[in-house]
Amino acid sequence: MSEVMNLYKKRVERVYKAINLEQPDRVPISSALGTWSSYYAGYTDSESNWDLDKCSKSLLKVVNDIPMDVLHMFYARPGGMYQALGSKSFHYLNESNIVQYSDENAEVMTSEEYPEFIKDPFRFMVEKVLPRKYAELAKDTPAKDLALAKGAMQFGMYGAKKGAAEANLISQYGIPMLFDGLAIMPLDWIADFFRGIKGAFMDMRRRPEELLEAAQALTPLVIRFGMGQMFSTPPKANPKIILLPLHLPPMLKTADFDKFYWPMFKTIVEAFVANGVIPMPFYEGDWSRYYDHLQELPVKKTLGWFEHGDPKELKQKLGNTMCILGLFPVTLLQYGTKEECITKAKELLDDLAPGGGYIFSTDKELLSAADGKAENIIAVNKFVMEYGIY
Amino acid sequence: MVDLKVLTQAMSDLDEDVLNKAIDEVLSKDNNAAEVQEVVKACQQGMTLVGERYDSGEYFIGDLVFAGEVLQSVMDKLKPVLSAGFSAKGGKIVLATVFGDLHDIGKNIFRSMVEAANFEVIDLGINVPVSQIVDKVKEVNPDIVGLSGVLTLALDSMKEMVDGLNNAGLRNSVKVIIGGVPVNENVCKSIGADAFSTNAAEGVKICQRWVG
Repeated sequence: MSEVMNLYKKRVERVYKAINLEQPDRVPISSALGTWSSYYAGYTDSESNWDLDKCSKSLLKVVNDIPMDVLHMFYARPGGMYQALGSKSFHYLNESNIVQYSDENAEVMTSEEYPEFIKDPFRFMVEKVLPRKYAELAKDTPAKDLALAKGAMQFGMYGAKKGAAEANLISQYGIPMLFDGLAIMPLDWIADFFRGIKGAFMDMRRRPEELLEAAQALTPLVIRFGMGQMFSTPPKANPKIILLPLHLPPMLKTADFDKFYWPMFKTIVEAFVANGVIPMPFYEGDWSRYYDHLQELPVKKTLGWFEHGDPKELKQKLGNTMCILGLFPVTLLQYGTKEECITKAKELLDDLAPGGGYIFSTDKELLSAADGKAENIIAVNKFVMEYGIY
Repeated sequence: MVDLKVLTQAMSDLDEDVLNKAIDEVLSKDNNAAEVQEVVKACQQGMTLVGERYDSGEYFIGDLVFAGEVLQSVMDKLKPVLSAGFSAKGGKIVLATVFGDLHDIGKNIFRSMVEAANFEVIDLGINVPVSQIVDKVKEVNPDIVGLSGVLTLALDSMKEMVDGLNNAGLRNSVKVIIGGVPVNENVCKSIGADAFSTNAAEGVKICQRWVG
């Protein structure tokens, strides 16, 4: 076996041992360098969405310069596909900024449309949501069919670029990618893509039963879309990992979380696990109110990526349930000195590493150019590789 | 006369039905300007209670967003009959989501709560360039500049904003408060702001201390 393939094998083993709550040879490092990578390689987020090769090149530069065990994903969005469909969903404030969400533009469904949505969410998405989000799909046949064909072709090309980039990372540097896809939870999907966040909070008070039924109706689709992504990527020796970015829970009262979010979230996580897939929820914001809930998730079958929390409490409450990642503040990589960064990394390792079941990671994805000083990232990762030896 | 205590409680409980009924009742009367003023005050007091319930961990962001909407729709109904003499006396704030960021939910929560605390708010919206904020500060001479952002890139814009106030010789005439997910004490110091908060109710209290 070549040296690179040997490195690859060791890195994968390190990560999966941690997922299985075992102790690998050392603490694995997962790099959440997202669109920051483009800026690091001299491009912009926007450029690498239009020209996917720039994303591939940026990934290669990042793994060449920065020590790590695993990289999150091929982060570029298929700009060509969005263009072919006439997307109105993504916003660049200027050429050098990152893509952003607009709550105003997220609202493409009225509150009166819930009954229709609940009756058949897939039909509603195809017939109502898509034409409102994508101008080309609102046109008559054959214009919309042509747009769909062009979009599908662009998406196929995107898949090919993504696959080639992953293969290059493995064959040239022995670095695996962590995710094979992602899934959005029903309430987040309704809020972020159909009703707007504000709209969803209004619905929670003004039409709670309809909102609940809509979230329930969407649940099987979330599983289907997630599994579709798992089936459409080449087979892997180990279970595939699906990212679940979670959005609204820290903004909800616990009673609302119990009603509108947790049952669907648990169902979806369990369904992925039953299908041999490892979910990796990104617990954005403060989830400490929900740790008892999270203890009910399937043991050794999920990765928990945390933005906030007390590391000792996390380890104590969830260390026997899931592999823990996160907590290292991106703002420290941006504003801190090398010494401050290393001190923080040491604190986290002291609390989270003992016994295994831990992967070092930042508290969120790095997105814009200033999100982290490269010298800080390199210093921290080097430190973790030495200090994290078991 | 509607029961102002019930009104304050309904605002605090986010009970729209009770609020709307009471407000429609007041609006249906003649010569109601004085009563409308009292109603506005009662709702603002209710909003302060909402802030307290957020502080105590009973309410969360979703409730604040809803509360802001409810108060806004109440004010929209009452404004036409508010007498001209009714003006904010708490202080003046120029507020913006900084350049490069278009997230405004946090900013809007803060706006509705600080307005309820009787501040006059000049809200410049989202993605606001430094020059526009500086010009507005020159024009209206506020007590406070409030800068909001969600993305970490907003922090750089906040710093540029503080530098912009310095360069225009305005820094010492205003207090600067920054708010949003990525702010913390370290960031506040590097940026050169006077205060930071990730909690709108706490932000309002800081502003009240400054003008109080």
